[in-house]
Amino acid sequence: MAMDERTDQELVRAGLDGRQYAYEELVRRHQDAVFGLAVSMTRNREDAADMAQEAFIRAYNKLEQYNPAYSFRSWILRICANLTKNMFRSRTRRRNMEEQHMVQTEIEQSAVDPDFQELEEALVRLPPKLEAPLRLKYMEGLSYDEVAKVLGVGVSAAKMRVLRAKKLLVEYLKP
Amino acid sequence: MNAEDKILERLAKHRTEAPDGFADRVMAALPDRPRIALRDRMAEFWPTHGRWIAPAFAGAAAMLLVGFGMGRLGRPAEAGQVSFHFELHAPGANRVELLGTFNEWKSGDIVLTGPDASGHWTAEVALPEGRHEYIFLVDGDRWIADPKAATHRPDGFGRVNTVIKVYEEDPV
Repeated sequence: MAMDERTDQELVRAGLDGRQYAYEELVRRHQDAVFGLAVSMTRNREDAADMAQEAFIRAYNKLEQYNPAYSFRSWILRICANLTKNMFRSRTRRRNMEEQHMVQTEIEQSAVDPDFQELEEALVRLPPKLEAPLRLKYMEGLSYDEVAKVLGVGVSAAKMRVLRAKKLLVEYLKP
Repeated sequence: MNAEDKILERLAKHRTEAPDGFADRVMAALPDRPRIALRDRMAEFWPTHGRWIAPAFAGAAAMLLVGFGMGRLGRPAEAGQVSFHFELHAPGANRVELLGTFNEWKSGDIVLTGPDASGHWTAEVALPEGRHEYIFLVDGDRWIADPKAATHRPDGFGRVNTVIKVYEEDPV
């Protein structure tokens, strides 16, 4: 069976047996989702890459604790969200600086497709608390329950944030 | 389609791609995880510091009950035999059987347990060392070669069997 046909749960089991190629497949499958969430929370691509990398390493180290009844993607996203929140707790003072820095670097580095850039710019303009749930809901296809669990908020808060994010995004992208 | 729907559709297709070489950097940073033999994994469950008596008796009693409940005792691995873990992902199945050279392809002899929460059926079977062929029978009418195994061979009757070679691991 080809690697790309294996379920995440099968890859986790192979990873637990020390087969690193299986874990590498998991990383490749979910790296964009994890990095995207980290970008939306940190507003800085370098920090986001560090957070995403750390999330995958933490997940690997506690792979035994993963419950296959749940989605691996939700699990790794939750680890990343928790790591990022902890990082912010330890350096809250730098937050405003990082948000400004992000607005500049993100736009510079994504100058590829005009549609892509327009949407990426609009996402960056959203407050991080709104962008992260919007990404999880519509880019990653998570349910509101999963969004709430990943971000450690209530389901109604998750719904409210997604709703507000949608309204702002429509406004930002008005022709 | 209104403006919001169009935006949501664009969002669904949108990816913020991880930097080039991201997965390679993650893999390079991972600690080594030694491959763990089944025997060692089972050993991790064994209690230490003399706290083994109660769980051991409880486990033995449970096994006896299960054995009598099935009308026979379990088949422990004997000398020259290897305990082998069979597993099939079949979330919608009602019954999964294992037929092979080791049970003379008898239907109903080895029935897998499952499905678990992730849809997997499993069986632990003591096999003599050497080469074996087997196939799963799902719900009495679907023959499935083990999708996780590397080697398969046609049986000459239109089905494909899985081939394995099992040997006791050398003591470390």
